[in-house]
Amino acid sequence: MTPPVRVLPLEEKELKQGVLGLVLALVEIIRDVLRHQALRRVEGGSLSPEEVERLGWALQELDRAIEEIKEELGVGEAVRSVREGLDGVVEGLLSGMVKDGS
Amino acid sequence: MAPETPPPEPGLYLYAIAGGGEEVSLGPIGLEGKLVFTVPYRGLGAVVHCGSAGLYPSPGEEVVAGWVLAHHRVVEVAWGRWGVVLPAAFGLIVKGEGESPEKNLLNWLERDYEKLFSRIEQVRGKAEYGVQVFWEPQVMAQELLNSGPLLSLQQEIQATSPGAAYLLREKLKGVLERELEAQARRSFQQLYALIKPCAAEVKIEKLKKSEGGRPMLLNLSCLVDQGKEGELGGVLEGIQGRQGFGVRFTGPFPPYSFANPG
Repeated sequence: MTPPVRVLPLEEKELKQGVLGLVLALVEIIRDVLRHQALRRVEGGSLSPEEVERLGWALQELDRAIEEIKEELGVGEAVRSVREGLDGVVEGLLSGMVKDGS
Repeated sequence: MAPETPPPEPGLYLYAIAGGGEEVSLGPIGLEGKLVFTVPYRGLGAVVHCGSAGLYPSPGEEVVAGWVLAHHRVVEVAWGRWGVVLPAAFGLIVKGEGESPEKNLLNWLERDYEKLFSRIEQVRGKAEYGVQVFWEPQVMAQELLNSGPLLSLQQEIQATSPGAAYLLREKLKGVLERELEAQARRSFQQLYALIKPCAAEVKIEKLKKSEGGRPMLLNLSCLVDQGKEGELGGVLEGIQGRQGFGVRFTGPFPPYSFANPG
């Protein structure tokens, strides 16, 4: 009996890229939400200057980390295309809602 | 007329309604070299060729491109000959539906005669021009950054600590985006106001994809009196000269966008 042959190892690599792209895209989206929330809090005036500084620093470091990871894994393009695809889905949903008159 | 490839039902392919009432042959200048002639009705002439009620099944892209070119050429010939045409959209075929296609065509001309005649008179002596204005958002953005509120925000960013600066930069991005959008809207309205007086009629067309990195800001089809195109050209030259704007001016064309009697 012959051992099972691993077919198309290239496919596995692409699959990994796809999954990592998706994960990083989601991380970026969460980062965007955090950033948006942070801005609102800063503008709301509820934070001390030290808190503002720490918040800004943390987000900046998060940005850097995300960019580094994307570069190491080579998933920059994959992340971009996932986000563009998601934008399309959201737009589709929104226009559907507007049509329903809701 | 011998039947074509299926469907064998006969039809008249319509190129345009011309402002001339004589029965004339324009020669074999139509799609696939078909003989083009006119069907007259009270001072108007439908420019047609005799064919089947459907176009050939599944033609290739190149074939269709050839047909579209032939369609335009016939419309231009009719325009040159009679001075005024209402071009038909590509692919319009008058079928029989119980009568001969010619009878059906004449019925339509009779029914819509007033509208067609009045439309012909409205486009007489005029040509269509395409006006597209492109803009460079970076140039616009730079101008905005050098002004009032955005300038002071930038100064704030430079003066403050790195973490706070990061957050302020994000804020700046948001403000800049909103300002750019507002500026684009204002520019559109300004440009439209400059162009409108030069044309008898103006149609606002959909914006097409950007080319060479410059997004399209304005896409108009203008119906212009022959003789007044210089005035429009002058206005467009002025716009072209402005920082961050580019213009594409095309024409004269037969009045494709203004042919509908509405």
